[in-house]
Amino acid sequence: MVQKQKVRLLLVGALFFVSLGGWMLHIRMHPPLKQAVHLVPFLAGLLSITAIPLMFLFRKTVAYAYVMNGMLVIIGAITMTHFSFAYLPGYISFGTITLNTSLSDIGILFTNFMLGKALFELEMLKGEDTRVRHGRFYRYPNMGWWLVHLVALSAVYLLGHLLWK
Amino acid sequence: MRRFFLGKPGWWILHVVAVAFMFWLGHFVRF
Repeated sequence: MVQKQKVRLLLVGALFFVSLGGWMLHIRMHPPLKQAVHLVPFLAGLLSITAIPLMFLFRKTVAYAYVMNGMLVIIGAITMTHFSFAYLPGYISFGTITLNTSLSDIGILFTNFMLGKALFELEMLKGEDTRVRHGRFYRYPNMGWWLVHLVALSAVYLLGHLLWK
Repeated sequence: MRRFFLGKPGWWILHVVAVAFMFWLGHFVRF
């Protein structure tokens, strides 16, 4: 087996296991059958342990997996930040904000994003001379594109929350 | 030559669906 294939399999394995761990933690803390809202992490996690790792294995679907994985990370980060605001610790300090909110969970979630990005880089961007690397920071598939989507998705989510009661 | 992304109907359809989904998600998620 070529080194690149081994690295790809290891990264897909890492993505699968970190997603599986997060999915099981969610099921334990927020059982999906108790409240309809808990279905959101249940279904997102289900995609992350089935379709997305599989899609990362095939060159034709890597770009789709990269976008889907990143979007699920953004949705997870937004909803968990929302959860943290809904259940703010009684006393606000550096310690309570870092340890008594969903910040640690969002940290784990970003592992998913980094693994997806690594898989995309491994397959799609052959070297430093790849044309897309010289594109603008805010254009796909650069990090600025993700930043724009994080801000835009957060804004639409917030509007939906505030305007549609 | 690649067409500019704003000229593609798929781009608009995807974004309208995505905005509608996120707007609904904001409404749906209540803690």
